Amino acid sequence: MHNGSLSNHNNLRRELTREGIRLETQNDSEVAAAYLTGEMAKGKNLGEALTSALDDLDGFFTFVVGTKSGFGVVRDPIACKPAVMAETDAYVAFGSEYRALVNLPGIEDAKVWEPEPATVYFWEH
Amino acid sequence: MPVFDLATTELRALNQALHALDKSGANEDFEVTNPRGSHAVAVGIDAPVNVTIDGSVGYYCAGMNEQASITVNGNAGPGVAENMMSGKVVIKGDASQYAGATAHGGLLVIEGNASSRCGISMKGVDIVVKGNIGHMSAFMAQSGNLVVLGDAGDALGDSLYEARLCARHGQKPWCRLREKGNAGRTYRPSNQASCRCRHHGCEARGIHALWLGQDALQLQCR
Repeated sequence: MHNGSLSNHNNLRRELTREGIRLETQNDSEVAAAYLTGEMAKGKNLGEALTSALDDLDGFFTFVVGTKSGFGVVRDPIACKPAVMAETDAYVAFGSEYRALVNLPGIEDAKVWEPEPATVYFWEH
Repeated sequence: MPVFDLATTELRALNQALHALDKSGANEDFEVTNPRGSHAVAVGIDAPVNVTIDGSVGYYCAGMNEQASITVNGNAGPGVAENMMSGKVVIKGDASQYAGATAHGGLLVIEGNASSRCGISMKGVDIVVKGNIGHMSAFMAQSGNLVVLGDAGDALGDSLYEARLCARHGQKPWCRLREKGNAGRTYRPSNQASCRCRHHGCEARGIHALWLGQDALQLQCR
């Protein structure tokens, strides 16, 4: 999930296509997803791929990424786009505002925080 | 004492009741329960009244506040007390981005942490944050005072005008300062060790006031 706008997605699309990754649209978010897939195919886990994204992607973004075994969140260094997270022993939740999380069980006692800019948050089974 | 339960009452009813108050007289205290992250709670008040909100609020709580004294027993979303003209807002928990943005007066107290862009474009408000503030706080701050007792994020006071920023010595971010006699030249320490109080040559940790006048750099040890 991508909230924001990438400015170098055209260049990235060319590079990813050259590497053999198939992209079907002109959309920047598709490029971000393909980029992360490509990095993980090279052997990185989701957390490492998101760390590389901070160097290779240009623009503003909040990414929330789920894979079969992991869940990751990263915001760009300027971090204009809103993001809030909640964590209990039972779950980790992400929303663009606290109001989206307010009906979760145990939210009153959850650790609620805003992810820091340019910092990867990553959970894996 | 009027009590508004936002689980069963429309937000509009609360705000309309607050807008109907006597602007110059004594008003009963208001209590608001179950805000559950609602937006625009207690906005646009222009009357002396105490409002207590039990729970966390969403965006722009106490926006454009004038004369009222508003307390949030919880966290606040982005833009709390945005454009406040006078009065007082106290957040017992944390505040999200751009707390006190473009506010002209009054006092905003955040007992927890504030997020990025705290006090952005402040125009006379006093902001006190007991915890930390996020990056780009006091960006383009024109006047007023910002006091942070915890840590400040990167780029504190970027593009500062005449607002006064009080921060603990040796902050992680760089401070952009204009040196006296060198109008237009900016001094940008590359690390925290360079951000020194020069008034007394004091290097001890403590609260220092960074006062950026138009052409003068003044640092006062307090």
